Amino acid sequence: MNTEILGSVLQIVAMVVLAWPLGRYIARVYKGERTWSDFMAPLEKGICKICKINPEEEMGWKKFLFAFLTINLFWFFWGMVLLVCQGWLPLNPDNNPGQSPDLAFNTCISFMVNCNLQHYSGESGLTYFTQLFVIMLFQFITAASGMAVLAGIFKGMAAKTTNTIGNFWILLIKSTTRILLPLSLVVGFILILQGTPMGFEGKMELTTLEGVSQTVSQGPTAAIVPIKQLGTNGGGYFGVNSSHPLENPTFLTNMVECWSILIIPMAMVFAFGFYVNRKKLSYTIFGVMLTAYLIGVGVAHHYEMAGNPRIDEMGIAQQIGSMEGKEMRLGAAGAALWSQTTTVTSNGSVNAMHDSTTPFTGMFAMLNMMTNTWFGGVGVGFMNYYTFIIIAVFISGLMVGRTPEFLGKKVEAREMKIASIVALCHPFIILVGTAIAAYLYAHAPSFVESEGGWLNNPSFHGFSEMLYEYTSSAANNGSGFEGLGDNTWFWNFSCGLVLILGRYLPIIGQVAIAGLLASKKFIPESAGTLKTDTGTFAIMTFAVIVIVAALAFFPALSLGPIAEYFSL
Amino acid sequence: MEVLSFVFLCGVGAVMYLFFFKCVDWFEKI
Repeated sequence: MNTEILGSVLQIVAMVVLAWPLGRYIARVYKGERTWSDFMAPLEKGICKICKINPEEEMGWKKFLFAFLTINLFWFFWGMVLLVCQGWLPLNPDNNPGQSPDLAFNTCISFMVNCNLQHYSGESGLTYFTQLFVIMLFQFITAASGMAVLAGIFKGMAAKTTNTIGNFWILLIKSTTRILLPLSLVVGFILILQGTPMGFEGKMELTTLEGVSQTVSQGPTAAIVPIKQLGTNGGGYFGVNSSHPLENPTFLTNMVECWSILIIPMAMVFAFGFYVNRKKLSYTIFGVMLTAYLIGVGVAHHYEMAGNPRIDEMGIAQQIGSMEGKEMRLGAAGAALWSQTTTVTSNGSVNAMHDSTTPFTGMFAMLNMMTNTWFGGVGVGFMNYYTFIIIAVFISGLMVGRTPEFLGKKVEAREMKIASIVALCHPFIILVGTAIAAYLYAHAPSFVESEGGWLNNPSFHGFSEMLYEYTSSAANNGSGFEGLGDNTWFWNFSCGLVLILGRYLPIIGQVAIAGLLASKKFIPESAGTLKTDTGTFAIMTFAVIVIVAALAFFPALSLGPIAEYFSL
Repeated sequence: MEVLSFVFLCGVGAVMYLFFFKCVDWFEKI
């Protein structure tokens, strides 16, 4: 048991220690300074030439967003057509059929918004062609998009007064070629060495120890899994995701993959400090995020390693923890750490079934996604925290009678309106979605029955399954309480809408705030300036996040995991 | 039916993006 805890501690230490140099490197990449990856410059120039991108062009925040939205609209149609038509396309040795339109809608939006919610099983729901040219492609470019947008915000924050926040296309290309691609190659190499398959052959036939013939899916797994984790995507190549022995073969790959999930979101916080030259501010932000993450990790470890009292009453030994839905080779602690690491980021991969976790572990997984600011998805996590900084600056300024300023820019009514819309959009889409689903389940049983019944678990846990699904969609996380039968028209469509709203509205708002602030007159710090790099302000921001983001969900959580906890 | 469903869902996606383009202008004037 102590060895398991030691494993978790070592993983967290490895993340924190390596995030700092990576953050410094990322800042240098985005600033255009010399780095070891400059050998990628000819490739980047080639891409610019083919795509007719002017690398010298500087974009205002509106043009920057138009570029971001336009390419996303193109990807939406690209994904829809390929997923529906995949049965007729090459690289399909297992003859998997095309997806239904509603499933393609959900899958396409889900991967396009960096969520990777999966209402299908990877082995049979996709072909090698769509795994590579929809799934893996989206996993690279959506992660790079989030990072590119944050880099634009960095530029807006670093400048004294400017009307431009960089070139979206260049930041997108650099995020891919200089950050995601090199890291993916390193992680992919480790996975191949540990036994993850990499090839294009169809299902493998083998005879088990019992003498039974069995077919095992394989394919280009080692190419897809690294970016799945590094880009905080999470979509499993196989149906059971990272609990599959070919997707996550050993404890070493489990550690490497877990490290991959959090390393870039952590590094982006340090990158902010290096980019805008406010290291102390980045350390305080990092401290808040790390504290919140460690609270969840501590709770999850405690409850998962203590075992399930209901199973204990049945006379089944619980010395190694609550092992329902978990892999023996990874253990209760390995699953607990993974569940919290994936939900503080927007990574939907699982190495154990979240549906089987004890109520409080499940609740903290949901809370992480409900707040959606502790490290978060690559790029977008820090941007969500930025929204709450703006709100905290404004509230603190009013409380102590100082001018609300952040990095030398006055925060006024317009920025506050946008920040409020962004902060409230998240709970709104989750709670409205859950309310509609719960209403239909209670009052339209014939409709629910026509869709297959939805819930495999009644009562509190069934409610948690529905709440989790919308929370995961809105946070662009992608994991699920898999007791929910979600490959139905209602769930595919409603989650698709929540996914798309949960991604773009906040990004547009956050870039707008950064662009509007960047164009304002710079005000040098004075005795009347509210200090934002102090412990007091860090606690204030934490309190604002808890009050605005977390408490909005308390009634819903009371009906789900909290009620379930007291029923055990 | 499948074709109609596909066209409808593509339309919904396109409308959502139009909404986001509008949001960019809206946030400038809010």
